[in-house]
Amino acid sequence: MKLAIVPNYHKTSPANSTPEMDRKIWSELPVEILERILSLLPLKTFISLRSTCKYFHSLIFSPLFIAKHTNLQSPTPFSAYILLSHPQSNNYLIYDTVLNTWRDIILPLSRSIVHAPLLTTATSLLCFSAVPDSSNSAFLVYNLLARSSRVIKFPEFPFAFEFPTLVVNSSGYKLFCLKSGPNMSAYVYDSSARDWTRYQGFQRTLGYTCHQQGVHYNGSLYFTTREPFLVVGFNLSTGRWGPCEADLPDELTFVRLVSGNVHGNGNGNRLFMFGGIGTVGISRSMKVWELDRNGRNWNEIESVPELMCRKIGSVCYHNYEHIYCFWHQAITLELYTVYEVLYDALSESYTVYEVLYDALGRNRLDLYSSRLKTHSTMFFFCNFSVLRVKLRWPSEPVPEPEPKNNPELNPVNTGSGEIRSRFQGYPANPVRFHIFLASTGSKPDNTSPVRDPVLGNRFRTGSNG
Amino acid sequence: MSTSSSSSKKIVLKSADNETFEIDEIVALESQAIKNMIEDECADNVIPLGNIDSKTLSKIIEYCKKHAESPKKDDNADIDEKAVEDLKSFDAEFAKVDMPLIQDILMAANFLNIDNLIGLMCRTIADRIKGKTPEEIRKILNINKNDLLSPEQEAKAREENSWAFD
Repeated sequence: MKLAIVPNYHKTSPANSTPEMDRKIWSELPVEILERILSLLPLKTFISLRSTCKYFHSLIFSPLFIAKHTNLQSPTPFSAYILLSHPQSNNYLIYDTVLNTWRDIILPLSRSIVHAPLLTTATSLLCFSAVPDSSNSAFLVYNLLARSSRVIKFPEFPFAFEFPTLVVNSSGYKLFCLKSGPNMSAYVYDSSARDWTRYQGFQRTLGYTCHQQGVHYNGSLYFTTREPFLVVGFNLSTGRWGPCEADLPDELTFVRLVSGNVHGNGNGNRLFMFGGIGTVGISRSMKVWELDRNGRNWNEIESVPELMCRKIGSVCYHNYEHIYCFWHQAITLELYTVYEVLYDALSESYTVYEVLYDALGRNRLDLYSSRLKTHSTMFFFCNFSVLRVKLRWPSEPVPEPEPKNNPELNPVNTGSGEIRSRFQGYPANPVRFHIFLASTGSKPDNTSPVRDPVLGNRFRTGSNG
Repeated sequence: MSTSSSSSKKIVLKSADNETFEIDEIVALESQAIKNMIEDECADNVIPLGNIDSKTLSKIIEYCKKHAESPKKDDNADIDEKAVEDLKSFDAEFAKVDMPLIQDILMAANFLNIDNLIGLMCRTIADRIKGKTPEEIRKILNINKNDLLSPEQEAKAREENSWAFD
């Protein structure tokens, strides 16, 4: 037998198929092919398709499906929406980075719930601390795109949890929590099993000293301890804790982990570490390392320019508690309320940091920066307003100076009134940004500047300050 | 045994309904799956395709013939635009078939690993449902009545859609 062709992939023979199509051919199509079709559709059709039948309904906007599409390398990447929340407000705003507009979202919280803080997000899933029966006993996980939600009862009462982390996987999602208190253990909720599992052994490995949400990489959540620095992983399927084999660089002053999805193959497929090198807590330099494929070595991949390093040092006064790193197309660093793009693993280049800094001035309260949709536009949230700045990458030639009123070059500040009115009366600093992504299907016209339909260029900064 | 790909060499494909198609090997090589089999020397001269009926297979052969004849893009930098246009209009004509046949071609092309043809069928399907309402899409895609959403689910989905992107 020489032939390797497998017969009969059709459940019914196509030869005698009837025109009314009793076969469920759409669900028989390999998902890759279906995705190829979907990638050609504008979002509106994409969504219409979702309500045509059970199969498409369950497929489109499932957590895995969205995770797969949150990849800028895909031919029609999902574009990013930015969700703004504030711990003291139950208002949530979504900023559409393609249409450059704001929209409200109405969350499926019952009327009795006055306030449910947003705890963690993953793709389009939002996890709230909800109070469904006013006994403070559950989480609420909400799929923003599919508009479905689930109440997840705490595994036990009372449940003092820390570091809630959502992770999207092939069968749905997992919600990880650490239970603090004398009996520390890890709890993992599995959305397909609809149940919690409790794992012990946390104290031995990690102690009380982790200070950041877990970072998802290769099926594990990674944490760093305080000094002596140690990277510890928690395997989400086995529930085992274990230290990372790779030796950490010497003379670390602080470390933060970030996982990034550089080429979009699955979730969190690269693990980066951002940290300082120095003595007695003073960082001489700051670097980015990447864990190699075997998990044996931290390879240095970038050194932060001295100027930027000094700036970070001057903001945090060598108290690194407030440094928080996250990934959004690049490693982004949060210091108190200042966000800077540090390292861009895609183009392997720095952003034009000085341009941003000068454009924004020194009065910023909140900045959010991310490279969205196009490779050269960044969005900043500054002092309750959105700033859109066109960037040059270092490799590109510096163009001739252009007239000041060119909106392409001058940051256009839009939506400030909108955010201000929603969050007025709350302290500015803890406004939090979450990112979720959705397909836009058709590509936006990147060549023309997008202006706020209402505000236009009225809030343009620069010439009028 | 010789696996030379001289144009005279013939390959015979046998469809599910036992019809045989004798084609030039060069045409068969449009299929990556058949190409791999020939290269691995595990194909006899007759390749049975137990899951592709003769109607679908003859369409696929028609496509492969045309594409095998046409100059490949990487062969020659300055292929004349006429050939490209010709192939384009061939593809457009080729895709003017009913949805069940498109589905069959798509499944078979996927099985035979003919990437261009998969792309053409995907584009055709996308073009047909682009901008259509759910009812229209249901009709175009021949969605089985048993697979429809419940009225509640559908109402919910519609509500979502109205939010989604006005």
